[in-house]
Amino acid sequence: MTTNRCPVELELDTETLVILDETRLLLGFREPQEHEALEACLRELDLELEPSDSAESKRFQGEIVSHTDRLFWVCSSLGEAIEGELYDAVEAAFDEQLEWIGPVYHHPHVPGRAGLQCPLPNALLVKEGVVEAPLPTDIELREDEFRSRYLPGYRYYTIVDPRSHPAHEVRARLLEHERYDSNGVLFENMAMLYPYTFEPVDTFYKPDAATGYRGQWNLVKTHIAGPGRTAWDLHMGQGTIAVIDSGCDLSHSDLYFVGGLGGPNNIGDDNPSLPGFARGHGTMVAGVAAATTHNLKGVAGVAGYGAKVMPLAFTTLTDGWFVHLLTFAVDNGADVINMSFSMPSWGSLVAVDQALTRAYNSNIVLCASSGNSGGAVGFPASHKHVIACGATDATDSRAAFSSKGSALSVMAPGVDIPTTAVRGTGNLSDLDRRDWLSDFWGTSPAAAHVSGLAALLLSVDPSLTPDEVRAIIEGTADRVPLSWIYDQVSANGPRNADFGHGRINALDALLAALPPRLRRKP
Amino acid sequence: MPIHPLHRERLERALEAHETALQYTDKPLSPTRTKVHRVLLELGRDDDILKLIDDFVDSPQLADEIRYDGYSVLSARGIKLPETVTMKVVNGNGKDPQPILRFQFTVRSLTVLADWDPKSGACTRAAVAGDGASAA
Repeated sequence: MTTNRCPVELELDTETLVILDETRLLLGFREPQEHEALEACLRELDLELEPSDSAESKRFQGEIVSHTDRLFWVCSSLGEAIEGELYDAVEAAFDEQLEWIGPVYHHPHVPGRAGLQCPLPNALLVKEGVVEAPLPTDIELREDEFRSRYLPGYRYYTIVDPRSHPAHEVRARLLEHERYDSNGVLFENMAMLYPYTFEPVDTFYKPDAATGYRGQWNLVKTHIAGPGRTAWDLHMGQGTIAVIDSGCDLSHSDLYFVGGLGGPNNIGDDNPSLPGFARGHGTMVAGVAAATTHNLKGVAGVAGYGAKVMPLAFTTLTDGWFVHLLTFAVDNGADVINMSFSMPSWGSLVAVDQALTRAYNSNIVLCASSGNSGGAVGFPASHKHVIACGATDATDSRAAFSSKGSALSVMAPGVDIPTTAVRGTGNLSDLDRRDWLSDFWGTSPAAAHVSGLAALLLSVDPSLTPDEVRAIIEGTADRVPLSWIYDQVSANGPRNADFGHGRINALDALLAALPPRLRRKP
Repeated sequence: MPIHPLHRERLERALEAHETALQYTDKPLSPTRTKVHRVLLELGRDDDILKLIDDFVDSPQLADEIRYDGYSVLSARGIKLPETVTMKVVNGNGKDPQPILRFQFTVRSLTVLADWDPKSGACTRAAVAGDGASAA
């Protein structure tokens, strides 16, 4: 057992002295942790996760704690010092799951929780030019050359066994040598609060405890919008998403359409020629992908801030119309085409294949729903150039209706999704208009999430090809649920037949698209 | 060509919603939102502003005039914008950027953009850092 022996005062550099907050720790785990299980374990120790601003607690308004799936800030529920036996009990409770335990320090000149930070116990920055001085021989340090490359003047070292030799101890040993000084050996400090977090002001974004409305959980789950650092902190969408569907409500105040008034056969409110589509299906799909975001009303769409919808409606459900609509989208500047329908009998048609291939060759990203039969992935989702999207729920479980198989690409939320509805037909009322819906379900909204994410990626880097967009979306997807095995190999990372490459993670996807193109290791 | 009938219908639907919001008694709005609704209504219900948009929709020359000196254009037409509202022409994003007529105002910390895109009609939203349309 190693009790907490962190210094009460720590000199970060010659200018900065911080003071130990004995009631808090940062726990670093080797693997992602489930929140509920972790909280239960912490309760046994009279500890709790550091609380963020939330619908349940308004106490910390605007303060979002920088928990990740492996790093968790914890504090004593009783306000007691976490030291001695309690510190040992934390180590014992999590045992080998823990990579390290980090101390939390408070900056004396920064009030409140904004001044809390953790000098990470597994990292040190050593000034270039003094590294030739002897490093401790009994402590294994490894240089991370990638990190060193972007730290001019310093080299970045990780400590292989930070639980036995935490960074403050290694640094103290180094400072004993005359060639090192406080500015020559630095910690990497992690702040407890995020500096920013974008949450849209759309009416139905946040949950409403009074009515039981869950809010746009789908955007939070996929790391599109806050709380926390999310995709929208990096970039808001632009571009044009063609929605080949039943048509859209063209006067909806929460949807923004491209010029030309919707393309051929878009009759607006609804499409009586297509009784097979749910009433207003196109309007619902469009809202998930690109409802106007941050406009003080209704819902937010994945790519909605600057993105526009090109609503393309079937007049009759024929392969000929499908080819026609694909061609219209290609010729009129669509960046992404969303196809939230499944027509297995069109899979072998040469004209359809050619139209999809032409769209792909025109650098348009194609997304389709995997289908709601629970069977094999339908068409056009199964086409080689189309990203096939299945549906998950709020717990990241696969929706039972979500079709699966080798063609499945990724998952996205597809149960109880808030979105736009045809005039007066919704169950959510804003500004006295029932123009929104709280519970759109199916692989249709799942595909719309992926279309919106593709539009976000293309607005970050318009030069991305459809294959690159697919690689980023698949390669950065979260492999959920944690109990599920991703045992099949693909060029874009592990996958399986039920979840494809996993549930989309918009933040990681945008990080991968921003230069330099950092790809998460499989 | 004046404002397209569908764009006018969409605008009317949005304006009616703003009016309804201000009439709520059981769900009072914050002072900020009340002000936003009021300013947007003032803009959308002003016939002279709608006439200006009518002309803007198919007149690149008017767009240039507003870019150069929007204040004079407003004065010549006898238009007085609501307090704190400014007007300018910005370039839309996309492969074929079109001029967009933008009315902008700020209520406390909230900056609101009310854009008129000749091809797509009205779009209002709160501004964010690095907002899509660039100033012309």
